[in-house]
Amino acid sequence: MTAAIELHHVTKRFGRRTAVEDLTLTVPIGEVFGLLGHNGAGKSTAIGMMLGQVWPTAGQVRIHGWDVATQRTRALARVGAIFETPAFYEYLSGLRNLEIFSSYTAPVSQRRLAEVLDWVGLTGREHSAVRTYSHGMRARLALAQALLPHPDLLILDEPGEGLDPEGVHELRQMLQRLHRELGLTLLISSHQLGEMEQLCTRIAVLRQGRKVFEGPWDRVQWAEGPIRLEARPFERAVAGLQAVGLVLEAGRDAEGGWVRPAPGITPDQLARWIVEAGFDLLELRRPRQTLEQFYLSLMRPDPQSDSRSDSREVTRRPAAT
Amino acid sequence: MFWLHLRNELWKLFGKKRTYIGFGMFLLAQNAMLLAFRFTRWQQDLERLLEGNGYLAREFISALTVAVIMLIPQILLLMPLYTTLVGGDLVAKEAEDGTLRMILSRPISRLRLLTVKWLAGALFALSLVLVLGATAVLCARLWFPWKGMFVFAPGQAFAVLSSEAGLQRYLLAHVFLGMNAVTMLSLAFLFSCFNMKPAAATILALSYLFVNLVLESIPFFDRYEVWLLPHHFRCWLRVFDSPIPWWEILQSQLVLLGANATAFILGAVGFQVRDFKT
Repeated sequence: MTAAIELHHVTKRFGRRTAVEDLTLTVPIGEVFGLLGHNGAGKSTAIGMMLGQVWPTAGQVRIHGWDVATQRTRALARVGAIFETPAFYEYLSGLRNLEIFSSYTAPVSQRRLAEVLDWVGLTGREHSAVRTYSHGMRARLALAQALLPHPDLLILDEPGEGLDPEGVHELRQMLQRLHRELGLTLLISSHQLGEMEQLCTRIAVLRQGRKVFEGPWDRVQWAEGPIRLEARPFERAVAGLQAVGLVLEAGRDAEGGWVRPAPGITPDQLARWIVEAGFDLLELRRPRQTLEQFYLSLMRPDPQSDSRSDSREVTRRPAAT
Repeated sequence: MFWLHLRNELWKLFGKKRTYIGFGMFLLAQNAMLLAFRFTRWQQDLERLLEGNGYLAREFISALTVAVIMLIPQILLLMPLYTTLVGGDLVAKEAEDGTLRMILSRPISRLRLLTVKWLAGALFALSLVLVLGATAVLCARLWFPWKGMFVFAPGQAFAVLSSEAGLQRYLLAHVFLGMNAVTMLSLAFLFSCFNMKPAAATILALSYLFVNLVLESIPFFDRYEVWLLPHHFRCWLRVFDSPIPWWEILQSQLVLLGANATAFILGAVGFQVRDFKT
């Protein structure tokens, strides 16, 4: 199946400054894809190239299989976009703004307009000039304009910026609903790692214009590395596990016991052996890392390797506990 | 879809209050000029000029005569100001506000977008000229009778016409005034397509006109006047000549048409290669 978004070795230079370098990225259909990185990491430039607003210096950008540079109208036909500070014609009503923006994709019926206004909770205020709207209402209007043309793909560049916690919560719920009920593919660029962690099924991290990570979030959060183990008696159980080759090393620290399984050994296999060998199994868990921990670990300078050229599928750093 | 996009641009353009500044200012200026004409020596000077040439002043101090008197300075100064103000806004203001980025995330080609924007701007320029012409003659009619027409622009036009012929020429002149207005709008539109503030686009277009006017006033450039825009802008006054010098008017119109096409193409090229980012 064609991916929703594909970037092939895309580079963008602004004069001497390289904003994005050799970026290859795939956003599969149906995913909630998080694009992370510091300010100036190249996220907005990458999104600009996806939407045909920024011309790549090299490489190719495809949306639903169509080249954005040469087949722009087809590529963007089923795409909705929301930017950090959504801009509207302040002197026109919300409804008129929606009519204008949606018409650049396809004309929409009054019924569809009413449906989307209802969806985002702006019914009753659609005839007011946008200059009278609150920040939250503007965010909802931005979502409405993105949803009007029945998109398959929503691209959101810092959508929660400037919203209060309630607004952020509301936006997250709306995006989850869109993904769940309408099956939309979402690409979200944001600094709000807590929100991204709750939303995203797959993430990519950019640093200084280069991708340093891309992969499914569920594989990252249950990171490889030591597994927390509490069994009675601990030393005997560990010795047994090592003797049969299920565990490479083990030890105790301030949080309790840990074991490092042999390659390919899952926690289930360890649990089964411990129970069958007659030990008491009190706890066996793979520590979960937060997106913030993972993100910061990627951003930390690594003297061992040049991470700018290291684009890994899943991190191998030990999880912080 | 093209008409829908054009309708959008017209909504955007005529939904803004600043679009109407030009219409309002023309009305103010016209009324100020009317008062000045009526209550200063201006009218007496014109009467003396007519009588000095053997015409009965009371037959030619008319609504049409005064309307043209009011048009000459307004077309030279105010019309370029208000058309470039709107022309400079067409692209640059949207880029500055961020709405252009929202539009460019939609499946519309940049050329199509520019075309509808320019067309909306051209419709504004034409409507401005039509309103200017209509209000000039209507306001003048409130104070002056409907009689023969006298047109005098030093070094450019001297004509005495009946009211019927005068009205016909007056209407015809607006076709060429429309071309002038669209050309000034196109100049501002050209600059507006590049990465600059709307005010900068307006100022650059006005500067181009003023530089042309300055060059034209230098005797050395007399032989090069066909290369300067104001020479061609004045062709609207030539319709009052008898017989009408159609060939010269056509030449000027072709030059202005070329200037419009060049401005649009250069603007489109600049717009096409631009990156739009916050």
